[in-house]
Amino acid sequence: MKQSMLEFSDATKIFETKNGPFVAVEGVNLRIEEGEFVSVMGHSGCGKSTLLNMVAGLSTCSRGGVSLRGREITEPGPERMVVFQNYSLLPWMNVQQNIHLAIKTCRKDLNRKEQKEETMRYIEMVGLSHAAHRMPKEISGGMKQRASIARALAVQPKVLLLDEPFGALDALTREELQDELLEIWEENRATVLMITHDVDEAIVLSDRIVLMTNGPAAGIGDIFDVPLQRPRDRESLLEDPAFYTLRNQVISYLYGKQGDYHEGDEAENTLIGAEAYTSSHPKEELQQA
Amino acid sequence: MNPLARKIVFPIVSILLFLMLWSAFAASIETSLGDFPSPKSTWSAFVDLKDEYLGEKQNRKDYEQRMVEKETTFYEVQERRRIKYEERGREFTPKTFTAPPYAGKPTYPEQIFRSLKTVFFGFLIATVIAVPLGIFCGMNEFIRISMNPIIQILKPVSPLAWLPLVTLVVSAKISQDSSMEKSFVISAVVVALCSLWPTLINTALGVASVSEDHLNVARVLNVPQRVRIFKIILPSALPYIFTGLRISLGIGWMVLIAAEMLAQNPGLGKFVWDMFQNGSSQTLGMIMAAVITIGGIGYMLDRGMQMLENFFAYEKSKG
Repeated sequence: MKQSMLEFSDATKIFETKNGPFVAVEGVNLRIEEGEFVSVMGHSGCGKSTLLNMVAGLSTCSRGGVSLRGREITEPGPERMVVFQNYSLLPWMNVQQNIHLAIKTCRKDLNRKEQKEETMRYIEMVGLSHAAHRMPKEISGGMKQRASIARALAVQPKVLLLDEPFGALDALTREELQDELLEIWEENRATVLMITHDVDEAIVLSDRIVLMTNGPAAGIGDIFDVPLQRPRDRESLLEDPAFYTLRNQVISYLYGKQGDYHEGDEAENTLIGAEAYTSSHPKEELQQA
Repeated sequence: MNPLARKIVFPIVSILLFLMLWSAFAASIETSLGDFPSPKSTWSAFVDLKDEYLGEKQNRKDYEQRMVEKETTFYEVQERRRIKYEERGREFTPKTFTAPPYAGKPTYPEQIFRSLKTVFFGFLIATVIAVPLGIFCGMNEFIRISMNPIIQILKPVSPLAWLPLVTLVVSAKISQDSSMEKSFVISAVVVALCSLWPTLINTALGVASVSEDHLNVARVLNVPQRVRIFKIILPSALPYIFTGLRISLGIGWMVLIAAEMLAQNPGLGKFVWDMFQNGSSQTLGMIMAAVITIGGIGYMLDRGMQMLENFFAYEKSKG
């Protein structure tokens, strides 16, 4: 049998709290193949970030495990690079230095000159050439996330992990960045696991959408295949009826079965419901725990 | 009122008010050495110090002039002797002229400079010890917990309590002919002992509060420990470290005066002590002048450190 790129087997995370053990994620089984783009959706606090951290190696499984090409993941490593929710650029380094740090540490096969060229190539790829020498505090949220994506791509990871990458951005910038990410991804077809709150984002970008049940003890509720042709572009997608069918399915799953979500009442008009859903990006409390 | 005027007018008014109160207060206190120094007598003490300095400078110039003359004569005499020796066919070994060092007493600016040199040397010792130790404490909870009681007990110890011990240790370790004077080393070590704590504590705090996100970046990229410390932990802790350094230097300057008095390091502390010992009517004004000098320099040191602090404090917004 062919080995999957990523495989969750009975992945479970239990946090020890003052009030006893808290089961955040329980019994997740999932296979992600090479070159697949998978999105994970679910309500706040359902352990999406925990799932991602397990792959990143930032959080260990209490039971079960996650393996990369059959090898158990025990610690973080650059072959599973993360694009963090809050960019996590180092504020005392400019854009170029931030990206160069990643290349210098993870691309030892290149000599100094090649590392420099590679840094510039990735800066150019995300359209930040004009801001290469700016400090993170001097650039907009969108630009920060571009830099963060460039840093992640620059280490050429086997798996790219995106933790609500565009959650903190305004709608226009978000779409712009989604399109750019799509374009870059079409070129190199990395394996991607993305957490998102945005239904459209999930559909436009991914091959499969994993919907999680509500926590505690969250698991996989349902998985939707995205039957849209690649390469995709936003405009033709918006004319594709399959896009809307899927969109309604996802939204009705999120508001229907998981009806205890407080904004669920507004879901009758799916459009408004979707807006309300996408516009709320509460922090993952579990991640902080 | 525009803000600039406010910034200038209010302090001037308050300083004038202070001088008036001081005058009134000074006139009403009589000590065994005469009246408490008034602003006026303090001012004249400053003038005296300036005159003394200029006089001393002149003396030194005269001395150097004399030495130059002596040198010329020396070589002239030697040349004559050389010729005589050669006539008789004897071997001649020329000597070089060395002027005896000037033995005048140190001037006020020299004493100030000596104090600054001492405080910075002590501060350097403190920094070299406190920053690395602080990094260790900050990075490792076990070390932090173990070190904490020791730090808490040693932190409040007065410089006067350290001084006898330091004096004995330094005297045992430094021989007579060492290039460094004992009094200088003793004062600097006492300064270091008293001033390293804020830097140590702040460094540990800064290192311990490095953002989890930034550490996660380091973990995911798998950066070597050296890079982790120098590229991520230290830059992030720098604002804390500089706040610590600023407090340390302030404490160091305060401690220095006491240390110099007792260790007889020829700086401002010894100046105050000598004035107190010599006990003429003029000395109270001199002491007051020294007090003001000490305050002024302390203020400038603090401002300098504050500028450094601001320079290194990157905006703590999320990057």
